[in-house]
Amino acid sequence: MNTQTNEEVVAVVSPRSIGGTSLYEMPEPITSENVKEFHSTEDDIRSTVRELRRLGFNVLQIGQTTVSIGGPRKLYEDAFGTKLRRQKKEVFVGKEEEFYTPPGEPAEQVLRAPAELANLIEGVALAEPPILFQTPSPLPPIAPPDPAAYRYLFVPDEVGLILNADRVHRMGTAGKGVKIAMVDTGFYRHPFYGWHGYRVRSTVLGPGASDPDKDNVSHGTGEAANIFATAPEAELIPVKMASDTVGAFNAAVAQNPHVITNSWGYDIDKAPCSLVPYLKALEAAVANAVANGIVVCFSAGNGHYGFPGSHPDVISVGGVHVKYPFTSYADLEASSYASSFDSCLYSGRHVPDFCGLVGRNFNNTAPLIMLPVQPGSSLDLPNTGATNDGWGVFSGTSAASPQVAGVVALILEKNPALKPAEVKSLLINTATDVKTGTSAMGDIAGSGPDDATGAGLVNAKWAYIKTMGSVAVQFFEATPELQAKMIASGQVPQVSADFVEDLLETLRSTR
Amino acid sequence: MSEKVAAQVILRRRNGTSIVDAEGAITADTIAKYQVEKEVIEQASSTLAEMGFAIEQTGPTSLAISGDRVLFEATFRTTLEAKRTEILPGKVVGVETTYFEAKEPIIVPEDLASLIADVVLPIPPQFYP
Repeated sequence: MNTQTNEEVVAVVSPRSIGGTSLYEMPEPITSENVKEFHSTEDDIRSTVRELRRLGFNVLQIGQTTVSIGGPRKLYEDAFGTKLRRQKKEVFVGKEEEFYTPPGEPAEQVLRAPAELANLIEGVALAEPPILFQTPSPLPPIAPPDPAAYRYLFVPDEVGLILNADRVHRMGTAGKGVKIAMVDTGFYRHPFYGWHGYRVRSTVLGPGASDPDKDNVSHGTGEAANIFATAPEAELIPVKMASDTVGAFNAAVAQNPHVITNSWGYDIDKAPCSLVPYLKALEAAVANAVANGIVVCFSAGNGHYGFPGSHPDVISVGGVHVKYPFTSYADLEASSYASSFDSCLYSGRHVPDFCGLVGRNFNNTAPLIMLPVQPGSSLDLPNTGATNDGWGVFSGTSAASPQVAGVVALILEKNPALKPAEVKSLLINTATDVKTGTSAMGDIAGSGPDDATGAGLVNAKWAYIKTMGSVAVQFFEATPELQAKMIASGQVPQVSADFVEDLLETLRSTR
Repeated sequence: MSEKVAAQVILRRRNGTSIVDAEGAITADTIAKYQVEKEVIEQASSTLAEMGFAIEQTGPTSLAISGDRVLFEATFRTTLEAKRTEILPGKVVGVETTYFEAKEPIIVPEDLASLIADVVLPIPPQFYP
């Protein structure tokens, strides 16, 4: 936008291009193939910056092709010998912004440098406000699913329902006080999050990451909704990752979270079965986090032999698909999109430990859960009917890890003393058995633990009951002094009549 | 205007060992023997900062640094090649990211060899949507 309240006008200056053709006179598209011709030498950029400052402009940003400047309208008019016109433009329904243009036709909109700078500066273009994408709705759209596709789920309600988290929330346990860091592509503040009142901290930037308020891929923005489906009171710490996964993961550890969820990895847990030094650093970072008491969840992969999803210390989360109509747990099946494999990096380690909800393979995608995304981002997929509505249906094992991270938050709220290995064991022992279906690797689910789904689908209700039971046992086995301390610190489970009634009903129904 | 390069610097313990020497898996049970002394982290950080690198993140076994490509190539006597790869490969959309590969092996300067076991360039991950 080139106008502010103090009438500062913003413009983009192009110093002399290396290729000899002005950036502003290039008739062909400028792409990654030819952009270097429009770079300028370091000397020319330095001279341009010096001259612009001498003229009185503020230099706002220096790039390889352009220099952004700001200054009062009159300074532009004096420096470039022209008069500027004030214009208005609707950038969003009902919202106008002012900006300035030179007096000529659009083809004459580039200001020419003063004669003494003509050799150095190709031209100056005044900034014009863009049309903003429509603000997305906090409500998901009615997507027109492909005729061959299947019913998708909404967050938070349907995901929370099937994972048995709703009943835990009604008991007053929703992850309050538990911090979950999510290392991903970033986080865009979609109205979905604000309207629900979810707690999201400012995005932490990993090494090399920028633009903390944007998520142009929107993988992190979308998958984060799965956390709140199971733990609506948890606090999310988004960590935006560039290429350096080790640095980003360590940035997450530095936030002192209780849980770190990761929906990414490397397809390398297969021949030749070794970790290159960079991935040894990642292995050490994961081990260090768990040694510090942080519960670390990783997605198993979508047919990938995913590392660090196979690291022995992490909770490795695979995928279970829910068939429609869903009437009982007999309608669950191993997802044909989710990974299952024996690790060759770690002897005796099988992936996954258990599962979250994941789509089944449909044209090499897994459309099961509709998720909020930054409008126009890479994952603002057409499967919701539009590519700028701020919603997309995608749900590989990336969805499963944050769902489980949320369930971890529920049990840590009741028993913060649990160690990562105890959390994993508790969730394995309380998962719902999944007896049908075949994983992406061809493993078949059957009664009891199996290679396709591990222990089955995470079950928040049973994990909660078991946690409450453990805390109760600790209490009754403790000395009177310790009991007094537990009461004072609120560690004693508040077993209400509702809980007992609900527990009995759960036992009868086996849900 | 040079490009910015990020890297992980793998640190050595006072006894000379580092995670690159690990023969078995590094887990929560074994990580303690690879955790580097605080003084090593501080000394490596300050030396690299004096050389012109930004210390982006410190960890118990490695440091994240960034710096100008020319500086990186000169310091570690290598040539970097910019590459692009998809981070959602073969799935819904083609989303690429840029990373660097070293054309020649990275060489840690002699005066840093007692602190630094290796300098490794990030490998972009794949996401699982």
